[in-house]
Amino acid sequence: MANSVELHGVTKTFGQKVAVNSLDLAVPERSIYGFIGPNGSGKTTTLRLILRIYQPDAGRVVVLGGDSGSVADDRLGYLPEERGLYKRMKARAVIEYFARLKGCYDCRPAIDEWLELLDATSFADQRIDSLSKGMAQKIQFITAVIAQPQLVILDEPFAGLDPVNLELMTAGVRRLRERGATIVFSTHDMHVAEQMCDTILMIFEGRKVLDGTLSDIQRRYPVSRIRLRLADGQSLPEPLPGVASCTPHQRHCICTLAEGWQPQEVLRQLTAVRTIEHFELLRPTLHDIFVEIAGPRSQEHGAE
Amino acid sequence: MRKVLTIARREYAAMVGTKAFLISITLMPLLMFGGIIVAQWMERVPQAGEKRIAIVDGTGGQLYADLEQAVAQRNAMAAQSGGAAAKYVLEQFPSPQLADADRMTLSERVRTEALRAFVEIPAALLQPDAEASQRQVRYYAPNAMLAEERRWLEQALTEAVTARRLAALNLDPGVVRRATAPVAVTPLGLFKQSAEGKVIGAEQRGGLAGIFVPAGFMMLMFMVILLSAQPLLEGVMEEKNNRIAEVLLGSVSSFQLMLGKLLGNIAGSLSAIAIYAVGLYAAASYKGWLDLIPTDLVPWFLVFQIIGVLLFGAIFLAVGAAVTQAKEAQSLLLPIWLLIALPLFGWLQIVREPNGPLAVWGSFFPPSAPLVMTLRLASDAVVPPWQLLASLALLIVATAVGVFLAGRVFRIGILWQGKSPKFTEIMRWALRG
Repeated sequence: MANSVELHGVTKTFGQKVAVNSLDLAVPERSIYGFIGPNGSGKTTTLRLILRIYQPDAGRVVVLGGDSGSVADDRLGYLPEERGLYKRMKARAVIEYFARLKGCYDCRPAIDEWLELLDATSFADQRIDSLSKGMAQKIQFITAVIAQPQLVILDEPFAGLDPVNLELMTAGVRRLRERGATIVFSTHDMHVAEQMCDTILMIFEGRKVLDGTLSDIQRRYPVSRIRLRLADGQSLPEPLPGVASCTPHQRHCICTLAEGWQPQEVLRQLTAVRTIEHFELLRPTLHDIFVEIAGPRSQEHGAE
Repeated sequence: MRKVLTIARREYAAMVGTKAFLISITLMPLLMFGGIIVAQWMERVPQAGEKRIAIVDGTGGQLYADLEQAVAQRNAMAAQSGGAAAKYVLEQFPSPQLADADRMTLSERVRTEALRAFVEIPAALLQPDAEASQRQVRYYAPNAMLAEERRWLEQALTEAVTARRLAALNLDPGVVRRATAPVAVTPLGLFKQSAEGKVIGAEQRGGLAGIFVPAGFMMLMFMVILLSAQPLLEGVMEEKNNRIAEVLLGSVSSFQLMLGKLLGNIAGSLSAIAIYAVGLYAAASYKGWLDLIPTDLVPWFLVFQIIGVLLFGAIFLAVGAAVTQAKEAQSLLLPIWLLIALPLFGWLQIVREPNGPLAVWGSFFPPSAPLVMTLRLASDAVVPPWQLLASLALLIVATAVGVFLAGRVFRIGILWQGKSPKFTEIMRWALRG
């Protein structure tokens, strides 16, 4: 399968600050690709490099098969983080305007369809500055995708949405893919990334620290926690070799394994002394991995 | 091209379709000509009460008697013309000369507004051989220089003293007046040939029309440049600060974007001119001044107007793109405002000498050329055709270069985030691209 976007050893600096440091990535065609990382880690800069708003200081950016395109490209759709709309225009007029600029002159039916899909018809004739953040976000999303771009770049499209709107928006993104588009978006909502992305890339301080599918990533991070339930009236023996700590969670216990211990060894020990009703390996969530990489400890480490 | 027109259309709507446009299009003439209108209107407002002036007559009451007569005449005239002006009342100070203590008392009375002013007429005023310093009439008031009463008094005293001097020489004042009657030189325009070959007589340049028609055209052009440049600046700053620029530049090149904006703005400025033109035409036909409007000037006016909007619009766009805060934009624009307004400082001289050196050099300096050429063409003088063409050619070249350099600044600036660049840096963008 071909790649929609490829970055080869791309570096971008602003003054003294290295925003993106020799980054390699490949976004497969017709996939949903998520950038995750803490604030200021280089997500937006990378998106802008793909959009060619920035030129890399080193390395090569290949977008839709070409590496020397101009910023203006009707095959791309872009949603900047927040903002990006004329405040004094009406929502529908803004969408129509951006559609025309992308060369889509007869897109009223498509606009109506998207408005319907995102439950935005009711405020389509209001001025942007009278809309709530979530409403404006939906309108902005439509402006980015209305001209049926092959590649859609979304910078924090899900930030600040309530669960209902989040659902609508993720449905919108999936629909884009069904129609054959490739979607690249950034987020710091790990849950969304886990649910939506075919491939995840994690950037930290301008460097790639992780990429791959969710299961790829989880496989790389060994199981460090187990969830278990003992028969009624029983409690865990103390101390229990191989377990660093335990916290009760409803009728279960969630135990963090001590370093170097395998879950199976703990299970074998426990079955000898207790009756076990439930035993489950807890795969690390993206959240866990994110915190492990970008948490305070590793930042101290990074600063050394 | 279709995208450029799409942008132009939105820019036009954003400029013209706002309340701000309507408000500024009405307020602008009010601000510029409002002073004159208010001053005229104020003169018609009846001034209540009277203006009392104390006269210290060193000539033993001779001149005071003359002044009493003059005041009576003046008050009668004022009453006839609608009675708007306040009545003058004179009072004679009991003694013919003042000590400092008296001056103090009188000054106090002026301060408490019991008096408008007090005047010392020296005894020597009626002696033609006396030294000038001894003949000086003194007028004491807080705003003595500008006081209308002082001007009246000067005139009334001159007449009274002249009459008395003539009488002393046994000359008949009527004969002298006839002998010294001033000669009037009437200002007239030139003879013209109409389209049918008929010779049209010289129209009387009704005094002020010869000055105010050119000035009016110049102010109209100035207002329209003001009106169209400001929205460009604000628009591009909104796009930059709201990251709309990034989305726009994902669809069109910066050149297309700038072109679309300028086109939309020229259309907007033409709309403003159309609105003013209709208003002016209505006002002129109401007042019967239609003959005063030089219609043959209109095509040239439009040409210079459009190029002027293009030149200054491009500069405003570049400034808007280069900065991130309105405050910085204002400080960068100050010298540009001065350039635009330069002809406003010298306009009277240019109208007086439409082919004089100031007018000619002003036409060859592109930033001032549109306004200066409008002034010259609207005045009755014949501008040498080579000057007109040279001015236009220079302006077109300068505008092309200006738009090109502004385009470079615009291209870099519009995506520039964070700290605003220094002026030298902006110049580097312009020159190196």
